[in-house]
Amino acid sequence: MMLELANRKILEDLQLKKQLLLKQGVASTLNSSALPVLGSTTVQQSDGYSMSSLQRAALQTANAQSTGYFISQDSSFGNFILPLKHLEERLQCVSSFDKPKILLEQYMTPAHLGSHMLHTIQAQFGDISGKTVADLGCGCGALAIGAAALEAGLVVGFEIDSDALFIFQGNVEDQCVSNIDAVQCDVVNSMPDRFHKLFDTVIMNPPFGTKHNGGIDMKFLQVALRLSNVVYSLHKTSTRLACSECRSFI
Amino acid sequence: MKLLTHNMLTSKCMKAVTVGYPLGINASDVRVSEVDFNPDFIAKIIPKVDWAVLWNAAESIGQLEGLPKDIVENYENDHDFLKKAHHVLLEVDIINGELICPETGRKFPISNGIPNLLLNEDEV
Repeated sequence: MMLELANRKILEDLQLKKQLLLKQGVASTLNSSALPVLGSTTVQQSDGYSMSSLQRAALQTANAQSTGYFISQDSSFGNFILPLKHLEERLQCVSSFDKPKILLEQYMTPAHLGSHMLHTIQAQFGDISGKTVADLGCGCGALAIGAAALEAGLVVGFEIDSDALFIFQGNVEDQCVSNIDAVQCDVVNSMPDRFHKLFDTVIMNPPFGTKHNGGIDMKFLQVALRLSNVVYSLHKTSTRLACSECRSFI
Repeated sequence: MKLLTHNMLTSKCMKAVTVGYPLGINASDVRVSEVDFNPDFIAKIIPKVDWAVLWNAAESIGQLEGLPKDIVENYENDHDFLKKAHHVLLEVDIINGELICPETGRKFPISNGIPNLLLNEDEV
């Protein structure tokens, strides 16, 4: 009962922060019903680029037709970071689970979703390049390797399952990224506390808590917030995958 | 496992362990892999690191490479110092070996570069 109450409190808190961010116009891509008005000065200032009216119209159309969580163009951000399509191609080469374990809710973050999520985190918020990044429940390492490819200072993946870590290590070697490390531990119950606030950013696609383990996603979120003040996490709403992106300033 | 990661690991989750830090290192296979040098990142991470633990860890596996025992003054602008710190923090990789709890002597295996800190139910 207490736990439920605590979970609800966290959710309300996140919702509040999201609304706050939306008001400021920083996270406008989060909300499909409030697609970014690309002509506004806020967007131009925050991204530091300018587009021709033709490009802008094309981007607006693309945004209107997509589900609208992420900006789907990479050229808009210039060439400072790994182009989006190259990142997506790299993530497509990351091997997935041989035999996914149902109880651990092992599924791979799709390359399309992962690359867009990471690209937005870097392009809009600058939270990957030169930062310490943690991936909780990293599995085969799609998000962690993507963050390493975007030149994080160091990425550390935390995972409980040996088989997943074996594939993780193979993927790290295949992708030739060296700014990455992994630790086998129980994220929810025994996260070493010296890691607290070491990380600049946490990115994760945690278990959703649909297999007799209700609330585990919220526990992951609690651990993540102890590691860093900036957490990007994928969560499930009743029927669809929603990206609840929270920049929290605790 | 990089020494920056080692700097954060503890065995405190075990019952009857009060500090569980630093974990001893018994390395059988150490590799050095090149990592892009980002001086700003290293300067930012140094205050978060327990320097004495880092130095001792590097010494115990013979990878000091001239790393000073104390953090030098004005290290943010000392390119040479940051480069040495970069090497020890990120480029030295322990592939196989074990970590040892300083209080109980419990050994945690490192295999394929990954330390395994999972505990049995009776150890928690």
